[in-house]
Amino acid sequence: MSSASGRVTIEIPAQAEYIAVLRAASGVIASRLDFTLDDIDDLRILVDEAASVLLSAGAEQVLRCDIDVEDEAVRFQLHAQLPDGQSPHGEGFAWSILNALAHDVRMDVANGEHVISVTRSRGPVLDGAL
Amino acid sequence: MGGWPGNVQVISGAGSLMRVQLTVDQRFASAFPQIVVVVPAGEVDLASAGQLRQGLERAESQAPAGLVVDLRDVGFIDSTGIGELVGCHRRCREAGRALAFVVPTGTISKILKVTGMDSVFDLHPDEDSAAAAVSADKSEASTSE
Repeated sequence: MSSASGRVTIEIPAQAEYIAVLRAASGVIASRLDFTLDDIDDLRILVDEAASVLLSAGAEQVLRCDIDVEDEAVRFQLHAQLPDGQSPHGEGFAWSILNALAHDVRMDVANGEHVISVTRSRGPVLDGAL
Repeated sequence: MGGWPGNVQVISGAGSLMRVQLTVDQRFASAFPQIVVVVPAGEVDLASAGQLRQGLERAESQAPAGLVVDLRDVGFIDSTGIGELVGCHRRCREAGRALAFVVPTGTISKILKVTGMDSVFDLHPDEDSAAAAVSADKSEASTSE
């Protein structure tokens, strides 16, 4: 099987109704990479949770989602401008889910833009709790 | 398929193009006809969680003693949705109302475990078992008054 790599960028209005577009795109990409149904479910949840964190923090105008595929891993980078002084809420169920289902999660601010990066490789995140 | 086609710049969107994909219905439990069963169907996320809450609150107001929330027609639920279930749980506890959930095996069950809600919520694999549990709670509550 040839190794896959590349990027899909999706920009949506910063409105909750559009998160479904990100979920659908993630599902399509994951299924083309032959991820399992469980992996696909997890990827949809991951992009959803990351987007929800930024929208809940007041993301303005647009949310940009870069979906990078590198061999056997998918990375979502969600970018948003937040109102001055706002930062994403750092706790709660969204983060429990992100940390449980992703192999790597990080949050950064660069050039006034908040970025949440979530990486998931093929196969489950190994954790005794699951 | 011959491999990933490189870089693809995709969609830009604008306006309010999207309808929210969730309905919340209500019925009575078939084996326990006094027990109200709420049936959300569709996807529960930041956009539709408010609709879930409205449906839950409506059912709570019509279910004086016991309520079952049937999640088997929920194709997707995230932390916002789980938060609404937590709200329902809290309101029911404050009102002395018995509450149980019907949960399919799979992703929803996994999310409940990841968030620790599997040890807080009363979870069942089918409606009869959930309604029986709620009915038992309800009769305990009335005999203890």
